[in-house]
Amino acid sequence: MEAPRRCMESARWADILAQAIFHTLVAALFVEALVRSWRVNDPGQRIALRLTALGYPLVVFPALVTLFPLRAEERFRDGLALFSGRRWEDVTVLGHGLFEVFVLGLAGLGAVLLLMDLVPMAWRRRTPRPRPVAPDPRSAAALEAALSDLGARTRLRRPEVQFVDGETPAIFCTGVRTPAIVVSRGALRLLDADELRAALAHELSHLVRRDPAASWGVFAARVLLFFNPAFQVVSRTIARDAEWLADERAAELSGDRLALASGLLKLHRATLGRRPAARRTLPLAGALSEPLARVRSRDVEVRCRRLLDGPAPRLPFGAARVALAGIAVTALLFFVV
Amino acid sequence: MMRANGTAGRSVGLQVARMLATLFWVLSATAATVAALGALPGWIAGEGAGVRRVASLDEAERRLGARLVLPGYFPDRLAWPAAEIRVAGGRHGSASLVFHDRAGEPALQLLEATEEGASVAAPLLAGTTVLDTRRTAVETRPATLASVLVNGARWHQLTWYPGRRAVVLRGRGELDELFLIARSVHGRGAP
Repeated sequence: MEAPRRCMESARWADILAQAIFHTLVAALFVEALVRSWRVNDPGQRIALRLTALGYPLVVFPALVTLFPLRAEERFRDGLALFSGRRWEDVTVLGHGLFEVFVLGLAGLGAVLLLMDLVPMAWRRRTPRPRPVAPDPRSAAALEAALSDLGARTRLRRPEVQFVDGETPAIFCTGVRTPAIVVSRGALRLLDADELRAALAHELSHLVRRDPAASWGVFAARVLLFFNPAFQVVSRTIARDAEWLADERAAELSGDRLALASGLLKLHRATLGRRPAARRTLPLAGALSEPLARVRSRDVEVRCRRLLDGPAPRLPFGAARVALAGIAVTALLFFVV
Repeated sequence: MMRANGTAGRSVGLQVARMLATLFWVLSATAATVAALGALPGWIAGEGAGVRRVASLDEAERRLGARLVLPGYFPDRLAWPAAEIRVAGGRHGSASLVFHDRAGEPALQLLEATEEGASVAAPLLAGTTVLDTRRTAVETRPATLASVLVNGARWHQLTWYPGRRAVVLRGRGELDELFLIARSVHGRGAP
């Protein structure tokens, strides 16, 4: 009696795993199709829509499984379901049902996508992080000028700035409880005053939105859903949108889109193929795209082009679009088991 | 002023309509793709909609919510258990059991409804061409004996109602053997 029960339990867990993967895949593709069909070009609105797909496996799917046990019944699978993953058991390749092949293959792909970010991050943690030091007078003056100018424009609280005495150019934000902007001497030498101000405005925008804490939260969710490839891909896409949004806010704050694009390009060219000056602690912001230099170059190119194109218009009824997308995808996926 | 308000209202209405139309289009396309993926295994296996292949008699009975009737007489030349079991029609639907001979060729097919008075589900009988029929009897119950073509192969087909459930028995061997098997058909246990 015990063996069949264990077998049924494991089959039920395999069903839930398969549904979690397939539901997120459909939700991600559905949201992506809406982003393109509605021509959503504002990064904030893109993030809001894509969060529907990202939040689906974390919130909606567990609710569907818990609140509607009838979806697991064979009557539902055979009669009402639009798609039943178990039907792929009937199609066999080399003696294995495609259901198992798909579930194992997609779960493996999800794990690989996570490891592509996790391994470089763990590798970088082996090298000690350079201690922040007091900036030399020239660097201190450059930082003071840029931050004062930004402070006057934005009236935002001045963030803590950690100066790193290294020649490799680096500017990034860090810290969950005590957010700070890390700047290296190399970055101050590389960027002119306008570019520095725009780059600091970019990092300030991340801090205002609490992106460091958010990116750790998303990374924790990625680890939890390591088996879910669509979740891994959507979280990466949202990280890119967060960069775009920070670019737009920085362009507003600094009032100089060209300087931000120029600074971005200079920093990218200067750091291409070099070790970072300081270990980055953000899993989704800078470190995420580093394993693939080509992808990173493409990202920078796209960001520069967007900065030169000007701000993207916001679509009307943004909240209604997000709500409708969430309701529609939930209604559809109710019938996918 | 009123004209401006009217134009703005029309513009908002147009935007809402465009938004909803796009959402409907994307949702329909997604639903159609998901449904096609759901139907694909059936198409690959050459089965109609609603037909489900199951692994065992127990699973078939669990899905149908009813006990199946099985032959008590089973010639040595046939291999047990059934090589292929399919169900259709959901709860209280029908089942199809295909038995192979020792050479691995389909030799006996048992199709049955599990609800009293119901016919065997049509998807399980698909691809059958009746060549000729005649009246006969299985024990005291009236039956129909037919020659049928199933996927190009000729079979004897016996249809009757033991216990008011429709049963179709197809065989490729001797007719006497088919009647012997038919007479031995009985319930597998208490329903």
